[in-house]
Amino acid sequence: MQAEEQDIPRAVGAVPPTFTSEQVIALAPDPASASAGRGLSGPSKWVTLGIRGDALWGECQGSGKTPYQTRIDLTEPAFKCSCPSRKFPCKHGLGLMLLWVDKPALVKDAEPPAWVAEWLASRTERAVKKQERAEEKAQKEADPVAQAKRAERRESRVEAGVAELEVWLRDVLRRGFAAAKSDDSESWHRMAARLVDAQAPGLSRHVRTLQEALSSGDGWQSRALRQAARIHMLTQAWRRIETLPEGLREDVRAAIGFTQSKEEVLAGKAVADDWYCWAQDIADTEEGVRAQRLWMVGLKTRRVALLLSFARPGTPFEFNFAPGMAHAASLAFYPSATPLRALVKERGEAKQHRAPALDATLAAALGRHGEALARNPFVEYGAFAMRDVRLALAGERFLLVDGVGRAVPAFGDTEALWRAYSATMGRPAMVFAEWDEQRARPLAVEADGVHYAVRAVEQP
Amino acid sequence: MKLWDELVRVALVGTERVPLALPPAPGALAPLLDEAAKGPREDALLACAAYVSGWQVAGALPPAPDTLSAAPAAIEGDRPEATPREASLLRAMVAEAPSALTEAFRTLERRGRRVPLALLPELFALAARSRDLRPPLAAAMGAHGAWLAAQRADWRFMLGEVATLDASAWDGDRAQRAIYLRTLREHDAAKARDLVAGCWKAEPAASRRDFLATFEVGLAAADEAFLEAALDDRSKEVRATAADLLGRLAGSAFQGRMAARARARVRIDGKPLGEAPPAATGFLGKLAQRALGAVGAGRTVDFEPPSELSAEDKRDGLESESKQEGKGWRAAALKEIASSTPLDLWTEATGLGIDDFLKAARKSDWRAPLLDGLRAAALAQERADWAEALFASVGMEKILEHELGPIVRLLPPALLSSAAVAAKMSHRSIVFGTEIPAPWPLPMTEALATQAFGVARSVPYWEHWNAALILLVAERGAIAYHAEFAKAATELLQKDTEYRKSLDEALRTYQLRHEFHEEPLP
Repeated sequence: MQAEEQDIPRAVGAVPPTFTSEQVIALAPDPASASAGRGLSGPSKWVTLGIRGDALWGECQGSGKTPYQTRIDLTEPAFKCSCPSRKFPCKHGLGLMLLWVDKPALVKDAEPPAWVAEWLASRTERAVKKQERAEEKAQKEADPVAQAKRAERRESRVEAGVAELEVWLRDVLRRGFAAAKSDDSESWHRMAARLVDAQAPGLSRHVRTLQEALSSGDGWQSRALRQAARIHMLTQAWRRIETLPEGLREDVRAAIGFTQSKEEVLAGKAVADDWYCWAQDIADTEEGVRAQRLWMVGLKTRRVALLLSFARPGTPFEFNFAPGMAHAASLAFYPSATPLRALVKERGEAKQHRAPALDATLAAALGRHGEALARNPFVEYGAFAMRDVRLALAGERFLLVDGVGRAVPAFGDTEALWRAYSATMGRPAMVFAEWDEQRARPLAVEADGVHYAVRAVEQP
Repeated sequence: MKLWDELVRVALVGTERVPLALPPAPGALAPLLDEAAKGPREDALLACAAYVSGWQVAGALPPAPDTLSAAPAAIEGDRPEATPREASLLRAMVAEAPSALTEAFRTLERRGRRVPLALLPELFALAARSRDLRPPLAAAMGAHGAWLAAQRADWRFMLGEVATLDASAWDGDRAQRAIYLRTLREHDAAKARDLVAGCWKAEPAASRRDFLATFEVGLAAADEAFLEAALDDRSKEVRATAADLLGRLAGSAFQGRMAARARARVRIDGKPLGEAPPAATGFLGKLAQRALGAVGAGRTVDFEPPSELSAEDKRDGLESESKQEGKGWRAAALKEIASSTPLDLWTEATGLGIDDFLKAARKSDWRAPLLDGLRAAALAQERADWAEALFASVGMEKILEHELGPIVRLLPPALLSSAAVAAKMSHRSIVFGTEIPAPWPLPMTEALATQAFGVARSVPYWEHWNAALILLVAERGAIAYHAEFAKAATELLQKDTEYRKSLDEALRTYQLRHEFHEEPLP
């Protein structure tokens, strides 16, 4: 890839706040920080305040002699504060940003002082260095001989793993699920471990999912057969991978466990659009890491993108987009027959915008999912971005009902669903939900132009 | 689906035990399954399963259940929702300063707006735990809020707080019917009375008590007959409610009976009230009487209880079993008499001024029940003059008695603030503060804040009463005092103070109240 001058986009002149205070609070790592941040959002706490372009800064009087210096780069937003807190963003960053959102008149345009200018310069420098390092790494790995050797080795390992899996799976079906159910978990554990050794972690996960399906309660027989069929499809697809179209080839490789490097993805074509951030969903994974899913829908292209990032608690996520707003950005998609997962190549300004809907009925939304399945049978979930759909109560449970009366079960945290039901008054609204082929999980609703995350309380 | 069920059956039992004999497949699936069935048995099973499950998932359409209720209709004519700024401040209060909510709801109502629907689930949860929050929330949540409260069993309690003239409320639960009656009494008391009379015989005691209690709204002479009849009710609680209301009804026969008892049984200087010297006339006469009163030493108040209570006494609620200390039922009887006798009787019959009468009362052996009764009367008859006099006569050490508490609401602001200062100790000042809703008068705010900060600055250890007072000032103090408070609190925070946590919370509460109160220019 050609080395290009990285030009971090900067708006000229003062930037009026395009964030709302809810969106700022959503950046807080925990409710205590949000609370502390609000406590620091009063003007009496700040000795200095200033803004120039996308750079916002202030000095906050703490309990010590020297005030803490807080800087914010509003494009991401990124925070840097001289306080000793390990939280990210710290309460000073949150407080400063809240103050600016609430009372922008108090933050005057000014020449950035040295301690702000230095930080901005080092950010530019770091971005450039990052780019250079990536190119170096790409060049090293691009050593064709070494690369080819590594790839060949992995391919043959996976080949062996797949062969073993085929034999093992046939055996399970020969003896029957009823018999397999009473097998001790050791043989399953061994097959899963063997696949990890064969550098096919995706297949290993599929085997574990099949084992879980066997003891998943009501309807386990169907679930187990579906999962076994999926594994069979994968192994057969691997055998024929050369004959598959390019996108689907990548889906098969991804399902088996091959990953693509971020640099490779970013080097590919990117889709520029105003991307509306429908929902932000943060969950804790097994390994104690937090996973953030950001669902984006392009206003012009009508495409759906999923930004996935991981972070240890206390450290920031790689991507930060405020839900309920449209963000100008260039997204590079991971290759697939049904591209969904993406990385951010470039980003610009955010602006307020109505939420975009892709479908007006469940039949249309499911039809869209069916089309995706036809192109890529390994798709496991989809997303609904619908208008004219309402939450309804059926006894104790919630349903998502469209304008012609079709309904799917809606699931999620009960109190969160009640809050969404209250906000929409159970009347038709715009809803964004994840679809796992059985139930819809609403993540956000927009009613009367107001965006609500489906959360029990307005806190992360 | 038969095809799928057969596939599952074979997978369950195992291909070594059963062959794969599939029923005919629909349309496009048929040739695919035929092709797949040609391979080895396990592969054939899995391939067919893959085709069929993919076909099922892609083609599935969710059902359109006919048991679904229609979407709720939009509610017309309700107040508009709070502005985004107000909503944001309310959210912050829920998270950090719930004590500021009551005042915020009242302000919102005054501005003609209502609490946003999205906030209500959290607020209902708060109101479930905190009864004081319910009436202001009910008033500020609008018709939309009432709709939402009806949607969930654990929110329905809020409906018992929403004033309504909707006759269908009379078909609701007891709380809904009670609130309907209360609202109705303000508009058409006769109709409310008729409704109660109509259902009276059939209702259980708890309902009769609650419905009768609604008569306190717009209590008038027309209610007397029904209330008198209720004195004969078989439920003790209903009788007590009737007696309480009749005691408050000026000019009622009940009050007359109590006054007669007072005249007969209360003695001043040994003589029954009925025979006390009449009010003096003429300049010299009045002077003489005043001189006698001022001496004080000679004036005594006594009570001559009957040997036992008559049927009429019991009917009027003079208990014959009493848990009060000391003189037992006799003291209870005096208290009841004193609380329902028109207060002017005491001054008119004795010719004494209020202060002089109370001076004498304080010296009596019967002062405890007498003063309790007089306080209740002052509150029920809304006599600020008696309230002031009682308050002044009681003395600081009695402030903690809860019965004095409600009386402070009748006291004028100037007196409140001087009382707050005179209270001197935080644990007494708090008793005043808790009785007065936000916002406090400015002098009272200033006095209590100064006192609390003074203690925080000078006393070396942390006093929990003082911390509570600081928080109470922040929660209820005059909005105009906010800047002063913030200044003093910030200064104190810069030192190493034990009150850090209370000061932080207090600052935040006061700040939120101040911001909510300020309306930005459109």
